[in-house]
Amino acid sequence: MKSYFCQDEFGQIAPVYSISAGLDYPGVGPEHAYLHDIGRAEYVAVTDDEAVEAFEFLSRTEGIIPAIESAHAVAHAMKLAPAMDRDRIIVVTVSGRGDKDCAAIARYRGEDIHE
Amino acid sequence: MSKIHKAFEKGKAFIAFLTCGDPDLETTAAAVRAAAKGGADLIELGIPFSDPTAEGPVIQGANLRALKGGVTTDKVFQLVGELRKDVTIPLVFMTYANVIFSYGAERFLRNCAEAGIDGLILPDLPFEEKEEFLAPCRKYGVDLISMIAPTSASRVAVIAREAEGFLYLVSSLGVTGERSEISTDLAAIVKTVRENTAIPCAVGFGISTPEQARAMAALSDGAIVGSAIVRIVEEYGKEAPERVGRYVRAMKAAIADLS
Repeated sequence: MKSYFCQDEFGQIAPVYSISAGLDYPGVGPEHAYLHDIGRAEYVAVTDDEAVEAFEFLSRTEGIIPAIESAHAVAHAMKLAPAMDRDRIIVVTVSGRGDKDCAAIARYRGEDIHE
Repeated sequence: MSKIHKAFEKGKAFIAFLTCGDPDLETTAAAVRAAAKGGADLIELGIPFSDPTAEGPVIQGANLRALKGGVTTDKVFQLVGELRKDVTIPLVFMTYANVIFSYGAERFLRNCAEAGIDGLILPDLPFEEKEEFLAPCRKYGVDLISMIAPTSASRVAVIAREAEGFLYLVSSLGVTGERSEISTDLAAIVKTVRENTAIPCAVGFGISTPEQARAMAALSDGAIVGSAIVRIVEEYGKEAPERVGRYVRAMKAAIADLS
C-alpha cells in the first residue's frame, strides 16, 4: 500500500516541522491518499500562526480548547466562513482537546508556563 | 541469471557492505576496491536513504553523512560505472523501496543493468509486495534478493522457493549493528532453505569478529558484514580504505578453510 509523502526528486523524505506534534510527519495515511485520489476530499495548508490564532479564538469565544491539530481545521473554517451566507452551516470536527497544548501555545507566544 | 552465483563458487563467501558517499564517493570507490582486493566475494553498496528503517545507529549515521554530502541516486550510478572499469566481483545495491519507486523502477533497473549491478536488496519491501519491482528486475537481469528473518517461520520455505541470487538470512531480531551474541537457531532455518532451493544463503546482521564470521559461514554459505566496516569508515574517513582492506582480509581468512 502506498501513500503521499513530502520528498525530493530522489525520494528522500523531507525533514518536516509543525507546531503540532500530531502533524509533525512528512506523510499522510493511505485513507486520506485515497480520498484525495478519488476527489472526495480537498486538502489545504494552514500555517502555525493561523492555527494558534484559531486555537485562541475558539477558546475565547466558545470556551472550547481545540487540540492544536484540530485548530488547523478551525483556522480553515475561519477563512471560509466570511464568504458564506449566514444561514449556511459548517461542521468542524474537533478531534482532540487542547489542554495538552496550552504550554506549547504559551511558548509560541513567548510565555514560559510549567507543563 | 546474474553472476551472483560466482561469489559462492570458491568456498564460503565474505560479503562486505558500504554506504555510498560516506564520507564522499571517492572514499567509497577506494574502499570498495580495497575490500575487493582484500578478498570480498561480493559487495553490497548502500544507496543512502533518509529513513533507513532496517539500520542501527552506525549505518543510520552513514546514511545521514552521505546525504548531507549531497549524494544522489544518479551519483551512485556514476560511481558504479566508474568502479566497473576494474572491479569484477558481483555488486548489489542495498537500499529502500522509495528510492526506486520515486526514481521509477523501470529507469532504475535499466541504469542498474547499464552500470553493472547484479542484485537488489530492499529491506522494507515485504515479500508479498515484490511483484511491482520483480518485473523490471527480471527484464534487466538483476536479481531481487529476499531476506529471511528469525520470525519468518512458515514463510521461510515460500521465500526460499522463489529466491534469486542469494538469500539474506537475518541473524537476529532488530536492526543492523554489531552484537556480542547471536542466539537464533539459524541451523534450522538453513535446513528449511536447503530443502526448498539450491540458491546459496548468507547470514548478516550483528557480525563483526572473525569468530562470528566463521561460526555463521560454517552454518550457511557466507557471512555479511556491514556496521563493523562502516564504523571503520566513520572513524578514519578518507584514511579508511586501507584499513577496510585489512579488515576484510582478516575476516575472509577466518572463513577461508571452511567447506
